[in-house]
Amino acid sequence: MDKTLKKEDLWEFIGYLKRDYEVVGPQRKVDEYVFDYIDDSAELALNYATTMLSSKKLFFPPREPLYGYEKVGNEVILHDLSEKWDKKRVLFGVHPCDLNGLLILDGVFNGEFKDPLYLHRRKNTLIVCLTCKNPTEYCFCDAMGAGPTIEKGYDLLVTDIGDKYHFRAGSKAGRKILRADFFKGATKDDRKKREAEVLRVKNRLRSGFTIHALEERMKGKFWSRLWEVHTKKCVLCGACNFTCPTCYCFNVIDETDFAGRKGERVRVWDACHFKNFALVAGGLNFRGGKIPRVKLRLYHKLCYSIEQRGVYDCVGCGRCIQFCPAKIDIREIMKDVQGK
Amino acid sequence: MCRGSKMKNPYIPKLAVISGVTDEAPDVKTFKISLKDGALKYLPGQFIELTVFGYGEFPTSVSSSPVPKKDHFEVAIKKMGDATNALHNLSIGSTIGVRGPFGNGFPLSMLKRKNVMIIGGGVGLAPLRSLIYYLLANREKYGELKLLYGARTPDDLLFKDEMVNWDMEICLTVDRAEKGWTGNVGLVTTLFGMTEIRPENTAAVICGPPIMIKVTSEELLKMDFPEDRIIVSLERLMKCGMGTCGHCNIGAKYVCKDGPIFIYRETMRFLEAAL
Repeated sequence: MDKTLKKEDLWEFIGYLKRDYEVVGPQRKVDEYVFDYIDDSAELALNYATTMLSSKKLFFPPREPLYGYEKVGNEVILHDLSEKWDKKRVLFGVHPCDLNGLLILDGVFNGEFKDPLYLHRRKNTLIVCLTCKNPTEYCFCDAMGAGPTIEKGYDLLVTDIGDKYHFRAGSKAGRKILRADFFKGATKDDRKKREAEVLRVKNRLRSGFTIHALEERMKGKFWSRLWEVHTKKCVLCGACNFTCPTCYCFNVIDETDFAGRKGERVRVWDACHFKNFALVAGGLNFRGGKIPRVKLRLYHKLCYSIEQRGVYDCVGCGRCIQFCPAKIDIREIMKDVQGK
Repeated sequence: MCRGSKMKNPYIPKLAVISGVTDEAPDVKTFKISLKDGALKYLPGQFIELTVFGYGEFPTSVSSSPVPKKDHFEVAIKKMGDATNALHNLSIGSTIGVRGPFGNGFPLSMLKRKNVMIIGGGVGLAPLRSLIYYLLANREKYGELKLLYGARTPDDLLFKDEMVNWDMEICLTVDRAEKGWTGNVGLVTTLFGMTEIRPENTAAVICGPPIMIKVTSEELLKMDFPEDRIIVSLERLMKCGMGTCGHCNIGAKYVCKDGPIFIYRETMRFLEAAL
């Protein structure tokens, strides 16, 4: 099912969604775009390029309480602190690269082990995906097959076709929303315009390389000197880990009051680039060196993930390039491993 | 509507009570633990995540055997960091948290009808003790049993008092002799010359510090032990226990869910060095 919405009706449509849902969308904050909840003063920035943090944070937050504990004498009382929403949520305007990232995270948190905290958010969020309009110099979703459009994973797929938005439903919930009065049936011309728009963006994406047998080549080059070269500039800041839509490593820590009687156990994002990532009590560090840590991130994304879940953990969003203070470019590393 | 919300939060530990504390060695204590609700179902070689409320959670192997059945289990804990130090300060009646068991455990069916040579280093004897009691309880299913065990000093040897009751050949060694020690001095591998070892139908099971596992495995290979009959128990930072948090990886494997027990041959296929 596909429909169209006049651009001037967008805000009214968002208001309509807000009756039943919390709505999150891309907004401009100072110099960057971020995903945030939309209140009455917010402005949706649907022409956005890339948000600083991906939509990962909405499903797997940087910090989330797992449970609280309280010591009373010899007894301990526990409280489940996992979020339970009473209102569902709409993620409005997520780009295909980030949605592909989310589909990868599904494999992690809804795989062999189920993570109810992630799944609660995931199952209670409607996805309105937005065909990408403004790829940046860092984008390489074309090489990873993760953009600028997508065929699955959305409830609704929106494309800017000039004076209107084209909406395509990808689920029952999406079709239900498209029955609202705001929407008009899409014409042949609307569909043509959508195709033309996707083509226009595709033509702007020119990463200039394709992925071929990357996993095998990574395996073959595990002991290559190229890792020394490519890891040299890294300052181990973790920016690539945190901005990545598919990096999922986390730590579990206790936040306790001064008396040690009450506290929370929380899950926080962690980065394999950090020095203590594989440090065990007693002082033995299984990844004490810089090269094994930087290599771990690249191998996890471009090699181990295939064995683990059958996908590359990279969607070509370009954030790790954009936010790297040392200007390390994963595209160059991939090309080098593949031998161009 | 939302399946996720009906699932149990896997990070919340089961509450448990310390029902016994025994000094094993300087800095090592055995804690007897009873879950407040039910009994822990586990296999030798599996591990739990133990919480000392207010200090944190750490992975530790279970040192008791699941057979014969008891309403408690045991862990042997060496003071290594904040949480293990805090555990040492607790006494009988204290409440702690337990998640798990996690991991695969020793390949018990693979050991059947074979001679089992158990090789331990230091506090690495804890998970092996679980295996030893399991094998002794099912004595008829296994061949000759042997324990080669080394620790830093005679005082650091764990389970000395109960060992005399273990119906198996036991060879001990220490790095540093003290207080009238008349036994062997040297690495655990120096015991290889002091006992008859027949690699044809023997499986070796090793747990100890990483360097000890590495050196011991290499010595066994030199003695013509096949790579698929050397079994190692590996240590890594196992934070979540559910193959998700990423800290315990070796190549594409997670020690917490794919291990912690590995066959030497499979570790050779990892892209990264496991030992």
